[in-house]
Amino acid sequence: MSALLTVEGLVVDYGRGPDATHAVDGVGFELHEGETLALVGASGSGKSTTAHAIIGLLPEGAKVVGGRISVAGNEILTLRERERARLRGSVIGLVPQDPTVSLDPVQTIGRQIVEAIRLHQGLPRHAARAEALAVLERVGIDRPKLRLSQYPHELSGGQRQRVLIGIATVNGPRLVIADEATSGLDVTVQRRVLDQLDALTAEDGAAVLLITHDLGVAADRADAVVVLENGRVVESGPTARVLGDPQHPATRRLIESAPSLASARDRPSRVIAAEGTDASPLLTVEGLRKEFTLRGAIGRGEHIVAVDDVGFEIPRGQTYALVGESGSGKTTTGRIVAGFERPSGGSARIDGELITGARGAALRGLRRRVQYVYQNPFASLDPRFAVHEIVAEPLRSFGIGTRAERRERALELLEAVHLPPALATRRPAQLSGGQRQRVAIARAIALEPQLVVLDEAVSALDVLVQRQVLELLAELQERLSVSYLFISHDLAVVRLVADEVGVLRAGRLVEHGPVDRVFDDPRHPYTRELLEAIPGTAAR
Amino acid sequence: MLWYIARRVGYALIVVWAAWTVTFILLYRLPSDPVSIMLHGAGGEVASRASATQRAALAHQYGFDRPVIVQYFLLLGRALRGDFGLSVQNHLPVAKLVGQALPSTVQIALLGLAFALLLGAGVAIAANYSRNRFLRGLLFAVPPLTASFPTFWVGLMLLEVFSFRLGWFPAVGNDGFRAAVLPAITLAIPAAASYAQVLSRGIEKTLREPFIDVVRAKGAQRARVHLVHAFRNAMIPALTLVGLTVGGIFAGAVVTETVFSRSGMGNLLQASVNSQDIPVVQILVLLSAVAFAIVNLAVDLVYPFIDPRIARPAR
Repeated sequence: MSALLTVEGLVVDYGRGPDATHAVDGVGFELHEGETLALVGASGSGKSTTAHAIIGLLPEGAKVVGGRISVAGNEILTLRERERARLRGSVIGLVPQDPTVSLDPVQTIGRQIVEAIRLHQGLPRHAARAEALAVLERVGIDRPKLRLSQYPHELSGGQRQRVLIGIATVNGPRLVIADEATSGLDVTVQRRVLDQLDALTAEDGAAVLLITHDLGVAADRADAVVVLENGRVVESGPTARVLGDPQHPATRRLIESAPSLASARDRPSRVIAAEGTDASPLLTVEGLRKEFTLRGAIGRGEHIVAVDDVGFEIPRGQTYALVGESGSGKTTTGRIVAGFERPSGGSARIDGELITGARGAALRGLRRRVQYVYQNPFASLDPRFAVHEIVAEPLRSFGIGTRAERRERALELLEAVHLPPALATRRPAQLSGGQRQRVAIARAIALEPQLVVLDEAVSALDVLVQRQVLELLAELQERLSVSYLFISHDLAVVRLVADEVGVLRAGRLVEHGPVDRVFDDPRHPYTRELLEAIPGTAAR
Repeated sequence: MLWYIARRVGYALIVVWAAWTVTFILLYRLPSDPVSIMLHGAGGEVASRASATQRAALAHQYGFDRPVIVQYFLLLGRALRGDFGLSVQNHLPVAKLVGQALPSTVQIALLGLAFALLLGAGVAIAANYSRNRFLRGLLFAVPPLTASFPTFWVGLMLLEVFSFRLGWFPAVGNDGFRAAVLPAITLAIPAAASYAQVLSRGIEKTLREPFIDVVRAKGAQRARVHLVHAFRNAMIPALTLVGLTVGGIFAGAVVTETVFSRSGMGNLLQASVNSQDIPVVQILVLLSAVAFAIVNLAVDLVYPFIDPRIARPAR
């Protein structure tokens, strides 16, 4: 049987002339009908670039300079752009990376599906609309009729990803490319979305090219795996063989770093700082409650309880993890603890001092003791500031040290997060995702806080970088005996870093306890559901 | 949605009322004597000949002898009924003077706005659509350049080329559409330049958004990507700018009407300011506030149709 997708000796350059670098350097593989192939590798390994070359959507500045790509008998690289556009959507479908930015914000869901249909099928508008409704039903969205007339911002991330899967598969493509399609989703949503993709492609016998850094996902879903490093294929073969008996060091590194595949025993046993120190907890949260009022278009309000009677304690120098799906109230809890938001009821105290209800000078004082690190390090760093200015900004706002001292301290902080001093004068845009998150961490520890709220702080990073940042956090905790409130939807990561864990569902803490106990002996059915949804569970 | 409309209309009314109040304070209540100003406006010799009794009579006629707050509501009440008093200069009702000047200015303003929108959008779309590096660079560079041309110079150039050399359009006067074309273009050019600038940057930025990749992955051709998706997403900031530049059109009208020897609001404004004809100046200021409020109201009402996130916030 001839392959549906053949890639041979593909070379893609970024830049031109002598400055050009090979992002993809001689990649080749085959994918047959009905099969799923996972293209795995760290960020920068060329997996996304390869996928974009296949569908003919390379970013500005990237250029295919060699090789051959054939999809269902079409030589992609020799086609004219107009003809390539005709293959997109009809023969090749794309499920993009981040559903929250992948739909046109100013057009209804219905219009965007209808567009995909009418670009390839000569259907009249009303027939296409009926077909769009069928698409939404097929991808399992509730109230599909309503969704047709809604806009992207009115749907959740998981729902938007379903819409995108619907769009990618509506014309029955032979090849579906899923580019990190579920990386940003909660584990339970991720599982449902991947199941949906499996079902839809199985129906049509289409092939799936999964681009992922999550080996757990590859282990669960792919028939074969191709491992990329620095733009080259370093290992490939059937999934069980590659993941069970990795030959290349790059593959081994990926497997070791994958939190979903690592067992809990791998966790470095940390000495809990108990040497005669204060045994009272650092943070005490009691009966926390937060209500939001949603204002409808006509002005009638609707109450939403985001956090409902949540209570926990964090001992000094330890990590407490809050896990749950998006919308479970974990970020709201984190923001209340950091003093960014006021609760509707209950209290949070640090060292006995009330955080909730603090105002003015007291609240400002608290900022020195509680810091916050966000998921998206790009959005939380001012693009116009140099790295050393970003790191020194908290010192400046509290008037600590002279300008020269602050600069000195900024360099120390960068060293503490293992960033070379040469980066101090760069701007955030010139850094990688992992480096940016290190800068955000350096800024957070600049004032030597007692507690750092880490809100999905490693969720956007690929596994290798994620592992490094987690190690850095553990090292800093040991050195500074800082406590962490670790907010995450990724249970696998939580197991690696947390001492205790609380499981939030719809604003309520359904289970909490020491991390090993909760993972090995979950008592609440919801915790079990979350644990089962971790990709790679089957492979373990 | 109804609430949104009601709120926007409310804002517009507040803007007009506030403008009227501020001009009242500035023109009538600042530490100067409005009677002297008016007498002066009517001519130096009149001012010097006016006796104390005559001054008092004049003050009484305009109500200056009453408490400020009474004057304010008196004038506001009259204004609401459409009575804006008499011009100091020629004793004609202000409403009539302005009514005569208004149509000609509105004609060139609207025509100018239409030209500016077409030209601005056209240049922005072409700049991004073009694959030719030179043309692209040119189309991106021209708007900032033309934005810096002075209005009178643009007007004179247009006159020179299209009236005197080519003879396509009349050089002066108020008669009909043909006479309005050149003044409208003169008004349109600085506005078009700023619309083009904001729109082309907006389209450029939108084209780099991830959702554009999805649109292309659906199989959409280049034209569709640019016109249906990128253009519409880039419109919001440009639309805001349209609202803000309307004030500039009035200011431009003064210069433009002078260059093309047209009668109109700009002309009337200039004459009234020169002769310190307070009632006329006040209504002209008020009218530009009304124009500003109406255009911004229209812009606010159009927003939700372009960007649904404005009237339908996320849950």
